[in-house]
Amino acid sequence: MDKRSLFKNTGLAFALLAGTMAFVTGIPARAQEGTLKIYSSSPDQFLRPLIGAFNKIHPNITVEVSVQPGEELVSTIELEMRANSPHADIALLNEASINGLQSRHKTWEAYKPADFSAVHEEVRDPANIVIPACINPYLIQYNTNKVKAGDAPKSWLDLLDAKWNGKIAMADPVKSQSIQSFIWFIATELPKRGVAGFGWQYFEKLKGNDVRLEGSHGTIRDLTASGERPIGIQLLANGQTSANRGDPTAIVWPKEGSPGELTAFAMFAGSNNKPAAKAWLDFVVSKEGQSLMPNALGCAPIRDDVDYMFPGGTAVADVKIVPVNSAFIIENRKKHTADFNKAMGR
Amino acid sequence: MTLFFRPTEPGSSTSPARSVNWGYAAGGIATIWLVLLIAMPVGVIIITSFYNEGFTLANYRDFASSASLLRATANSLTVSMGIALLSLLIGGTLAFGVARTQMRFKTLVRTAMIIALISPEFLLAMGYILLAGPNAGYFNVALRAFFSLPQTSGPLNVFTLFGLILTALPNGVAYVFLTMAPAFSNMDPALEEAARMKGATAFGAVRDITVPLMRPAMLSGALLAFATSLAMFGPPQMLGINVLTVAIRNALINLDFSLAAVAAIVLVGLSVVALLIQRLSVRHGERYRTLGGKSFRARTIDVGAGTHALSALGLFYALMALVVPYGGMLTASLMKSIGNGFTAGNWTVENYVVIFTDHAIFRAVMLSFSLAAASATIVVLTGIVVAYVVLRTRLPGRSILDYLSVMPLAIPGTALAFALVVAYLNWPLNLLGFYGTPAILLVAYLARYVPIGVRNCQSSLLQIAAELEEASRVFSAGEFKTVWNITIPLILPSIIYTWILVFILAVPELSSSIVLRGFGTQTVSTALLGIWSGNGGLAVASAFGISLFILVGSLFGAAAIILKRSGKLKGLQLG
Repeated sequence: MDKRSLFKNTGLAFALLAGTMAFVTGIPARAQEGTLKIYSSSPDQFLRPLIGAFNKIHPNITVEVSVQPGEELVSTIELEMRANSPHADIALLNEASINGLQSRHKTWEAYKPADFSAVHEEVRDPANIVIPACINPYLIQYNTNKVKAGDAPKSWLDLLDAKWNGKIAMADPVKSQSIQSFIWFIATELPKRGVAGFGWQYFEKLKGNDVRLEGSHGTIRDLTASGERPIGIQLLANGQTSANRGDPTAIVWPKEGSPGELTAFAMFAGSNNKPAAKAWLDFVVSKEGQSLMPNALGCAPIRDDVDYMFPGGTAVADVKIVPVNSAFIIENRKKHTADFNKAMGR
Repeated sequence: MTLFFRPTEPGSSTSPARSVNWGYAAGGIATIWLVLLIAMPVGVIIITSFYNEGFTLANYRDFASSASLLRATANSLTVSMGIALLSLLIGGTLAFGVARTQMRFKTLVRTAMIIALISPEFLLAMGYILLAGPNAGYFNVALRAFFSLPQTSGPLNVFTLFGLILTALPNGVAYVFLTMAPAFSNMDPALEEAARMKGATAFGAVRDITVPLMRPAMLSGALLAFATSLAMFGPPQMLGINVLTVAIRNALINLDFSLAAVAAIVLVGLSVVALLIQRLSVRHGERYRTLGGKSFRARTIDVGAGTHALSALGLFYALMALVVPYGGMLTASLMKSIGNGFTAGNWTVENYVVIFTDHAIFRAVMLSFSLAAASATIVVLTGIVVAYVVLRTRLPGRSILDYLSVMPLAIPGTALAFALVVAYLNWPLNLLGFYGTPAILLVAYLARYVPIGVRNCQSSLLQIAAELEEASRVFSAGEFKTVWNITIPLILPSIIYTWILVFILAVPELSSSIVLRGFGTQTVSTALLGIWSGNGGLAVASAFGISLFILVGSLFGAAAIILKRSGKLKGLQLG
């Protein structure tokens, strides 16, 4: 090799090395930049504390949130998948909806977040598609100005008492994804466990009590807080955030138990900013992210090393939470909605 | 453009061939544009309603056998007819009172009508829910306390069909009033005086002479109230009332396009039937002429004690359409928690801080304003071209273009948006990548508001004698120069009026936006509905509603000043 070619090759090698270093050092830079778009079925105000803490670690990632009631959001994502054009990087839905979209469109990309081993084993998805954020059980929320604590319903069956006629609100399965968990629990799970008074006839009786169907649990929270519908069939998330807001509301854990669905994130396979999406998912399951869950999404953390009490100081062990059978819900979603509509006489 | 507007020699007129070229070009552009914007979505709805893996009538059978959809149809009809009839009764009476009597509060009534017209229906619905919710509505709480009623619910219930009718009534009344007030003003009082001379009482003259002559205006106003009520989405959605627009939205959420298409066809069909009835009812126009060659001075009629009744009705309307709902909303917007009511320490301006600092709301506002500005501009341009082709050319098929351009009047926004979803998700339009972007919202807005542009430009162009344009051509100006230098300046006030009107209507547009919303397509109306539906809460939603009302009201105020100067706000004066 002559001098000239030596210089030439050395120069080329340096150039390659410099390029490689720039590329390698550029990866973390890109991972901390750009816009992260989140589709959410939870109010964006719930996400604000998480976004604030996330931005302290990743100040150059701008997080944008677009909110729709769960079932509407599933429909929006479904249409975008049909157009082969997802418009977000990650979505916040429940486990059943995420798995349903995956089975129909291969919507999501698997990702195993850092420190995933600290997450409760029973909520970890072996396929790493569903990235759990928190557990969100159903409960009864009531307005303390309108209902005395001693008088408040103590069980799901108590809601059928005629004295609550025109006072109860629950979510409409046509618009809300989460209410499918409650419908499964009342119509299928409790009868299977031999608990009397449940099944589809429960909803027929609830209809007789003039239950009001709303598009989202957030609306129910506000109707309960205002006293317009002083009793709500509600998710913990709204019960907790209502308490945080200073509303005159309290919660009851019904004695038959509470279906607890998994609120989770998933990363779009077609995400435009996967480094930012992965950084978000890492943060969500991190100890810091999980410690924020009760004040942010308002639901129960899923890590072993994060202490948590339900609102009002109820210990987690004192509540009978029944894990939701999301596979059953995916399979029966349409039938559930049709049967529910029939029971409700519409 | 030079292809069609070559400079001409001084003293020579533009050759007929060149005029024809220009006319054909404009006609071609207008046709392609309207087909893409209007005919194609309508075609999509029709085809989808008959399609389910092949041609079928099964979708219609499913619709006819669905108790829920039949109830939605019945509810839509009941609500729309109820609103139309009550609007006619109240709006017609007030129009007569303001135009022809010495009733008091005329300025207040006119102002309330304008505000009701520019208020998005869902804002009024929000106000009424806060006031007339059966359990915690401020009205009900006050009534129960005042009359010491033992019940814990009612006596008013806004979550009923009648509640929905009352909620949307201020808008319907405003449509009828603004249609009928000018008609009353344009009526020669000599006709009534003749009746009085023959021995008729004041009431008898109004009943036998005035009302029959007002039939076209009455039917137009009632039709407008009927059609807009049929198309409304926000109030029934918020009140949980099953109507066709809500059924279309629900079918779309369940991705049941066939059912959504049939529901849309039924909805459009009802609008078309109403339009036909109105056309048939006034087909002998000569019977209703009240303006002749002789000049007359509008005079008021002494209706005795009726004057006080009219004044009371006017005051009541202003209270119900303006003071009460917005008052309720303003109160709620200043509370920390609505559940804690009028207690010390429960007052805050934090809800307004949230509204003005939230990035998502800011983006939604910017998007709505951009879309409204773009829609207004393109609608005006389309209106000019289509009106020119229809009125100033002899192109074959121009009447079809005319019908095509006004077709969206009969298509509710929800149905139109549904058609766009289907069209832009499938080949070939999916290649444009519009779905899920602001572009599809712009298409929806243009389709909805093109009739306003075309109708306004046509009515202005009709007032301009063709001789003026011919004179321009005699003096060597080409077609384009003539339009630019003669026609446009003459119809400029109408162009400005149309631009502002479309802008103001497009800012709070909901019925199409709700179907098309996704990431980056949240508008002020969908953001507000989202906040009301739990994404922020009732107090924040009320603050947003009040802010939106002030914004739209200010825009209209600015428009009113401009239009007052140009003299184009006939019958719509503020104050």
